[in-house]
Amino acid sequence: MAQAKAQMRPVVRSGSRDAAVLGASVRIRGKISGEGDLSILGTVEGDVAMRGDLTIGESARVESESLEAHAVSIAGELKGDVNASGPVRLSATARVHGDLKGSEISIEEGAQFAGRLEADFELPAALGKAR
Amino acid sequence: MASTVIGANITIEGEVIADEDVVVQGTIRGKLSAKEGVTVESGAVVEADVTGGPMMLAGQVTGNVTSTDRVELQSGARVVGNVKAARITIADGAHFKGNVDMDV
Repeated sequence: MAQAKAQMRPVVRSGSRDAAVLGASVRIRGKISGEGDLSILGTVEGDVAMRGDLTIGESARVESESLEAHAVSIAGELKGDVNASGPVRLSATARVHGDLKGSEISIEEGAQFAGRLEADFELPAALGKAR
Repeated sequence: MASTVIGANITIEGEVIADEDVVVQGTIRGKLSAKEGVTVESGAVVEADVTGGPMMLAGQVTGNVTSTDRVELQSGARVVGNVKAARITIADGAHFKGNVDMDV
């Protein structure tokens, strides 16, 4: 968990044309889709479907029916469901209302979360037999 | 460097409102309103009415462009729509179809 803070930095590599940053003063109402990485620092109302990684910064507010991406890092406010093909990380400042689905899910101490978690993991043998 | 960059592989369908500089390398369909500068880079596609401060257009813009400052159509730009700004430059090699209104 301790390393989560450092990883919360926007995933944008300078000079990369695949990356997108939506700054803190930006408001978007609509659908965002694409292949690269996306960092949201402002307000987004609408669905997001990215092939790359999605970072929701501390200053961000996102309201969405569905968020799809590979790895998802959340440090801001999110109302909506996350469907990630990679890991989902909630850092201490995250406020999330919605269901999270990912390959693995980590929630840092201090994060606010209301919703369901769905992650693939191996059940202990005893529980596995019981099913 | 602008704080908002719409990357080359990103498509936004809807309304984008920004109080800061916006650089578009990808696709925007809908509406783009910025308080500061707008840069539409070569390869970008903007099918939207665009309002903002100083604008540098090098990509494809379909829609009306309104600037509080100046609009620069760079070589390679394809702009279809009306342009309203106090100062306008159209570079050699820029494609433009529409009306120009410099009466601000």
